Amino acid sequence: MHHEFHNTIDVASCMIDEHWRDTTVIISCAGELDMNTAPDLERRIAVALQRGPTAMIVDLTRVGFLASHGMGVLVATHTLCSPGVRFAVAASGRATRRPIQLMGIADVIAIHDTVEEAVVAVAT
Amino acid sequence: MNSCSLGTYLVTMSGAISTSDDAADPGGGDPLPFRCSQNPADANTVSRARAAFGGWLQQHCPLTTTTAHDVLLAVNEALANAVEHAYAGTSGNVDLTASYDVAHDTLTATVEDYGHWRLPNATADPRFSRRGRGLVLMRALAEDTAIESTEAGTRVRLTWHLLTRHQAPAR
Repeated sequence: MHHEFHNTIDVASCMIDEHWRDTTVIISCAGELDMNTAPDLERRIAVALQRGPTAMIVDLTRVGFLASHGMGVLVATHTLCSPGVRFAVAASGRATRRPIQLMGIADVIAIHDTVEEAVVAVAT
Repeated sequence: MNSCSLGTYLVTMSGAISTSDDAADPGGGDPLPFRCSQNPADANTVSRARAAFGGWLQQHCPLTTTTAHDVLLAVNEALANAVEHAYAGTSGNVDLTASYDVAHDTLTATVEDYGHWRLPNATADPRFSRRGRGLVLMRALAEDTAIESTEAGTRVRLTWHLLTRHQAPAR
C-alpha cells in the first residue's frame, strides 16, 4: 500500500527591496538566498551601484537560508564597492551569521546585527 | 514510489514523503529513508530537494535550529556542486538520498550525479573567492565528506555521527 501525498514544494524565493538614505543604498532581502535567487540580488546591486551611492548595505536580517552562492555575491560586491563605496552587511539570524562566520567572510566584510548599526557604521 | 508533478518538474520521492508499507521499519525504528530522484540537475531542483529534505529532517531528527541549518546547508552545497560541475553544457539528473540510523544517531545524506565532475578549486580562499566555497562549506559542516568519482558519475556522501548528541552550539 502506498500513501499518496501531493506536496507543494516551492522554488526558493527572495524578495529584494531597495531603499535610499541620503547617498546610502540599502538592499534588503527576505527569503532564501541560494543559487536560484543570488543572481537576482547581484543584478539589483549592480543597478543600484550605477546610481552612484557613497555606501551600500545589504540587509540579510530577514534571510532564512544563505548558501555559498549568496556569500559569493557578498564577496563580489565587496570587491565592486572598494575603494569608492563603503560596504556593510546586516545579518542577525543563525542561518546567515553561522555560514558567514565559518567562511571567514566577517574578516573581510563588516557584518552588523541590524541595518541601523550598519547605517551608522558606513556614515562614520 | 510517489511522483508529484510540480509545474514542469517531476519530483519523485519515497520515504517520509511517500512511503511503502513493505519497507516500513527496516532497522528497529529507523525512519524510512528520504529519496528525491530523477530530477534535472538545475537550480530549481536544488531548492525543491532542499525543502523536501528539510521537511523529512524536521520530522525524523530532533535537531536544534543551528544543527538543522548546518545539515541543510551542507546538502545544498553538494546538490549545487552537482548542478554546476557534473554536466558541462549537457543535461542530466541529480539524486538526493538520506537515512537516519537511530541506534548510532548517524545521519547520512548522499548526492549522486551521472556526469563528469570537475573538482572545484578547493584551495581558493573563501574570504575572497567568488566561487569554490561549496566543498569548503561541506567539509566545515559535515563530520565526514566522502567524494567518489568514477566514469559513471560522482557520489558525495555527507555523514554526521552522534548527530543529536553533539549539536552545533547556538550561533
